[in-house]
Amino acid sequence: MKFKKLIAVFLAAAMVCGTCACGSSVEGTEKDVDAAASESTDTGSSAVAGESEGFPLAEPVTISVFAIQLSSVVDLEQNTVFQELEEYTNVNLDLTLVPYDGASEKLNLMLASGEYPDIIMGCYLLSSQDLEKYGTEEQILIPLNDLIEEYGIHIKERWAEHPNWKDEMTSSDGSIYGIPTADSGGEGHSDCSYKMWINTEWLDAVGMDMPQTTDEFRDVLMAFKNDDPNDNGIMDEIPLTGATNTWSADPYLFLLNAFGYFDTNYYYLKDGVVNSILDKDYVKEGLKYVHDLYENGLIDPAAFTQDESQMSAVGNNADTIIAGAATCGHVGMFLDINNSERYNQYEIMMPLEGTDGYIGIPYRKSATVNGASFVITDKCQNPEIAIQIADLFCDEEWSVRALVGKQSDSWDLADEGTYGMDGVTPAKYKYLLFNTMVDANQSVDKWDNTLRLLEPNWKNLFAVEGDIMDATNYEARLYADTVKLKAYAADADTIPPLTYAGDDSTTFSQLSTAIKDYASNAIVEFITGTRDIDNGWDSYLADLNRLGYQDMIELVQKTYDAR
Amino acid sequence: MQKRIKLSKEDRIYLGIVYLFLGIFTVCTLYPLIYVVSCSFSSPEALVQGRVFFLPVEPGLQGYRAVLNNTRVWRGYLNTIIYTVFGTVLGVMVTIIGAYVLSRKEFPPRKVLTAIFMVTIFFGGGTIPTYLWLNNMKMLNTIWAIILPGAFNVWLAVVGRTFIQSSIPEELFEATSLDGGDYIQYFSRVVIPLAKPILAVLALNFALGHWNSYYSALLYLNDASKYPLQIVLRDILIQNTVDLTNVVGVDVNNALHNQYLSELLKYSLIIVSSLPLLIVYPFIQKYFIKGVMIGSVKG
Amino acid sequence: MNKNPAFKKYYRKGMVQLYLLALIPLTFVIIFNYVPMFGILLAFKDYSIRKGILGSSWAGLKYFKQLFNTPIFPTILKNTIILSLQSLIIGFPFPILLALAFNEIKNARFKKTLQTISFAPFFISTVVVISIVNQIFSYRYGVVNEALNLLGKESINFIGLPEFFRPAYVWSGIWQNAGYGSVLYIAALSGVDVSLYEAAALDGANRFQRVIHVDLPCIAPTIIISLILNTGNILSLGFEKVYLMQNSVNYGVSETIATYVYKTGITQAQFSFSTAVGLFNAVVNCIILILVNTFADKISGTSLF
Repeated sequence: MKFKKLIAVFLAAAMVCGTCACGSSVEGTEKDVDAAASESTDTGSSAVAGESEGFPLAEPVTISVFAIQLSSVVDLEQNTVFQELEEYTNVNLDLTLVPYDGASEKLNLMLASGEYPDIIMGCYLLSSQDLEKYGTEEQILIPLNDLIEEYGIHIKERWAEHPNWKDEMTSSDGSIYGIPTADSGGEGHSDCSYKMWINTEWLDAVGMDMPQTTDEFRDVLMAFKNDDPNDNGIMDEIPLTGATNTWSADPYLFLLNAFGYFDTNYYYLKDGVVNSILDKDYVKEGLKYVHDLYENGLIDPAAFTQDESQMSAVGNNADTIIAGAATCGHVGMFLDINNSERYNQYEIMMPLEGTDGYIGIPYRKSATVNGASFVITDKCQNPEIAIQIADLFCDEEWSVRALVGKQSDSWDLADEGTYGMDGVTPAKYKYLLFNTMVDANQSVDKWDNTLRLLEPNWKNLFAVEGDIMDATNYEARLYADTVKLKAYAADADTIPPLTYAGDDSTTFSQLSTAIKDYASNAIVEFITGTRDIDNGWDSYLADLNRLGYQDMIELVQKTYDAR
Repeated sequence: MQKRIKLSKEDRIYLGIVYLFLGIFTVCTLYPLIYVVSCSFSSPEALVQGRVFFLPVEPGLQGYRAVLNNTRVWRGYLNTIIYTVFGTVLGVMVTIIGAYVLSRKEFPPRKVLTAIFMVTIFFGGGTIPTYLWLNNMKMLNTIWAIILPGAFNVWLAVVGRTFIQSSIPEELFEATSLDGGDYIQYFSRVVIPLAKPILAVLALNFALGHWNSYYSALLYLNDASKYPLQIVLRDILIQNTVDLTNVVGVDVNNALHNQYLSELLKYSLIIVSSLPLLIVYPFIQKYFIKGVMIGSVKG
Repeated sequence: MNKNPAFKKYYRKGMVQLYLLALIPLTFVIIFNYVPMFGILLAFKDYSIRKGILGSSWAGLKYFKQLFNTPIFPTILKNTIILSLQSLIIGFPFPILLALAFNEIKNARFKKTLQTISFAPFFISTVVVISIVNQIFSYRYGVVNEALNLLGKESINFIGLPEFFRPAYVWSGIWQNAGYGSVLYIAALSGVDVSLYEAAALDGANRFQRVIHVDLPCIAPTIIISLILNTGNILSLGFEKVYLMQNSVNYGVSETIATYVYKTGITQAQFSFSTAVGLFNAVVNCIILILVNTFADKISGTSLF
C-alpha cells in the first residue's frame, strides 16, 4: 500500500508521550474554572476560560505523545528542538517512542489494545484509510474541524494558499481527523519525478546536441556506446542506466512517456474520467522503442534489477566515467554531489518527443495531501492545546527551526538583494552551514522528519548564493531543473487522494498488487525480449483482464465519482 | 589404552573427501565474512563506489567510530545482554524440565502432553491477543514480556526429549532408583550432568534467539531505553532499503543523510553486534566434545 | 523391563514428582500460548476495537474467501510451498554433513576454529546477506562475473534472471544456517558411545563404514525428529528475505503468501485478515506435519508422539 511505503521513507518522530496512564493531568485551576467543558473531550471546544490561548501556558500541562525516534536524530529528550518546544509551550510532553521500523504495526497494536496516548505523530504515519477506520468508524480519533476553526491560525493560512487541502483532509463523514504533511508546501522537485540526466561532456565529445526526439536520443546513445566519449580506448561506456525499487529510477518510466501518459499507478485522470494505461497501443509502441534500445546494447542490462546503491556505484565509478545517462528522481541517487567535477557534467534532459509527435511528462499540477501525520485521540484531555502545538508546525518559524537548526548556527537572516530558489521571491534567510559532507552525526539541533505538517514554502525563502551547481545549492538546482520540465507537463489531472469504502479497499489493494506485479514483470520482459511484443501482446492483454485490470479502473472511477 | 588405528586406503579417501568438503565450505563461508569485515573498515566513499571486494579499501575506523558514538547502540547492548542472560537461564531451565518429563515413557500423560505442546507450534492467537493479554497482566514494557512468553520452547523440548532417550541409558535410572533416588534426584544427579551437550544446544538457541530478536521487543516495549541492540541495528539498515516509488515529497537532504549513515554503519554494526557471541561460543563448544559422557556410564 | 516389585512400588509413589515438574512447562504454555489463542476468533470476526474480540460481529469465512479468491492465490501458494520444500530438502543434509565432518577432525583447535567460522554467518542479518549476494553476483562489479570474464566468458546478469531467485534464496539460506544447525547434530554425536567405535574398529570397519553404521544410526532419532518438526513449517515462510529479494523480473516465482499479504497492506489495520491467513497457514502446516509424522513412524519407529 502506498502509505506503508511513504512511512517507510519518512519517519517523523512524533513527540511521544509516555503511555503511562495516557496522562494529561489537568491542573486544578483549569478544572475549577470550567469543569464541564474541560471534562468533555468530544467536542473539543472547551473554552479554557481564565487562561490565555497562546503559549506558554500559565500552568504546565502534561500530554502523552506517540512519536517516532529516527535513527538520524539523537534521543528526542536530548534534542534541542524538542526541549525548546516544551519550554515554549510549557507543556510536558510525555513520550512513547518507537523506531521507524515497525512504527505502524506498533501503532495499530496500541490502538487495538485501547491503550494509547493523547497525540500520535509521525510523518505519513496514517493513511486516509486509517483515518476512516480509526476516526469515522471507531471514533478513537477526534474530529478536528472546530478546533482548527478556533485555534488553527496557521493551518487556515495554509488552506488559503492551497484550497484543495481542506477537502483532501476531510473524511467521508465530513470530519477532519488528522493533519497531514506537506513538505515545504508540497512544492518542489517532487512534482515531477521522472527525470533523465545526461552527461553533457560526452555530448560534446561525440559532437551531438541535446536530443529532443526519441530517434535523436537513440543516435546519441549509439554514439555514446561506439565513439568512446570517455576517451580511454576501451568500449566500456554504458549509454543508459537506471535502477529499480527506488525513486523513479527505472529507465522505461521516462522513455515510455514519449509515447503517451505513463506512470506506475497504471491509470490516470483526465476531465473526470479515469483512463487505463497498460492496454493502450501507445504503450506498445513505446515498448518497441525501448526494446530496440535494449537490443542494441544501449541500456544497461542491470538497470532493471539493480538497486540504488549499485546504480550509484556505476555513476561514481572511480577514475573513469562510464555512464552516459541515467534516470532517477534526483541526481544525488546516481552521483556523489560533492564530487563537483562529475556532478557538473550531468544535466537534466527534457522529455523526448515520440514518433507520433507526442511529448509530455507527468507533472503534478497541485500539491495534494493525504493521510495524517498528527492526530488527537479521544484520551486527550486538552485537545485545544494539542491542536495549537500542531499549528506551530504549520508555520514558517517552527519549520525552519526544526528542520534547519538554530539561528546563527545553521542559518541567519538573508542579505539584501538575494533571492530564493525560484529566483523571484526575495530571500528571508540564508544557510550558514550546509553540510553536504553528509555526516554520521545524529541531529541535535534539528529533528529531521520527526514532525512535519502543513508547511509553507519555507525552502524558497532561503537565499541561493553562489553557483547553483555547487553542492550546497543542491535543492535549488533540483528545483530549477524541475521547473524547466513544467513546460512539458502531460495533459492529465492530479488524482486526489481516494478513500475506498469498506471492502472496496481490500479489493483495490488486492487488484493493484496483482496488476503491479504482473505489469512491471511484463514490461521488463517485453523490453529484454523475453516476451515478443507483437506476438505476445494479445495474451498480455488477456492476462491483464483476467487479473482484473478493468475492474480496478472501474473501482477507481466509482470511488472518484463518489467523492 | 592407546589404539593406533591404521589409516587404510579407504580411510584416506574418505578423509580426503571430508576435508575437501570442509575446505569448500570454509572458503564459501569465509569469503563473505571477510567481505563484511573489510567493508566495516573501508571508507564510505569506497563503499558507495563499490570498490570493496576482499580487503578493506581506504581503511579507517569511521564505521566503528560512528557506531560507538551512537548512544543508542550502547544502551541497546546492555539491554540485549540482560535479556539474553535472563532469558537463556529461564528458557533452558523450563525447557529441559519439559524435555525430561516427556522422556519418561512411564509417565501416563506423556502423549497428551506432547500433543498439547505441539499444538502451540502451529496455532497461536497472533500479535493482538498476545499483546492484549500481556497488557492485562501488566507485563508490557517490562523484561517479563521478553523472557516469559518463549521460555518453554516446544521444538527444543522435543529434541531434548529425543536426546535424553537416545543418549542416557535406562540402566542409570534403575541404578538410581535402586539406590533410593526419586525422579527429581535422577534428574539433577544423572540427567543434567549427562545432558550437557543438549543443554549447551538449548542455551545456544535461547541465547541466539534473544540476542537476535527484535520483533517482540518492538511490540511489547515502549521505552526507547529498553530497546535491544537489534532494533537499533535494523532501524539504521531499513531506513535506506526502501521503496520510494510513491512518495509525495522526497527531502533530498534527509535521503542523502540516511543513505550515507546506512552505508557507513551497516557493516560495522554487524560486527559490533555479533562479536560478543562469537567470542563466547568457543567456550560453550567444549560441551559438545565427545567423551564427556563415557566416564559416567562405566563408572 | 525390570519388574522388580520394589521398583514398581517406588514408581507409583514418585510419579507425583513428574506431575509437579510437568506443571512448570505446562503453566507457561497455558498462560502464554493457550490464553491468547482465543484470538483465533479474529479470523472469523469483523474486528472492532471498541467492541473487542468477543464483542465484534461475526464475519464467517469472509476473510478466508478474500484470500482464496485473489486471482493469484494459486501462484502464491505454489511459490510458498516450492520455496519451503526446496529449502528444506536441499538444506537439510548440510548441517548433518557438517557435523559428521567436524567429527572427523582430530585437532581440537582446528575443529573449534572451523566450528566458530561456520557459525558466524548466522549473525549476519538478512538485509546484509542479500546485499552481499547482490554484490557477489552483480553484473558489473561482482566477483563471480569477474571470474567468468577471466575465463573468457561473458558476464551474466544473474539478478536479472528469474531462475536465479530460488537457488539464491535456498543457498544463501544454507549458508546462513548450516553452521548453526550443525550444533544440534554435533551435540547428538557427542552422545555416541565411544565403545561402539572400538567395537566397529575391531570388526574391521574403516572410518566411512563407522560413520554409516555407528554414527548415523545413533543420531537418527534426532535427525528424524528434526526433519518432522521442520516440515511443520512449510507455509510459515518468512516474509522479509523474500521481500528483499524480489524484483520486477522474478515476481512470478517470488511472490509468496506472506509478501502478498504485506504488499496489499491489508495487514496494517485488518487484523482479521492477517489472522485468517495465519490460521490457514497453521492448519496446512499441521496437516502436513501429521502426515509426515505418521509416515516417519511407519518407516523408522521414531516419531513425535
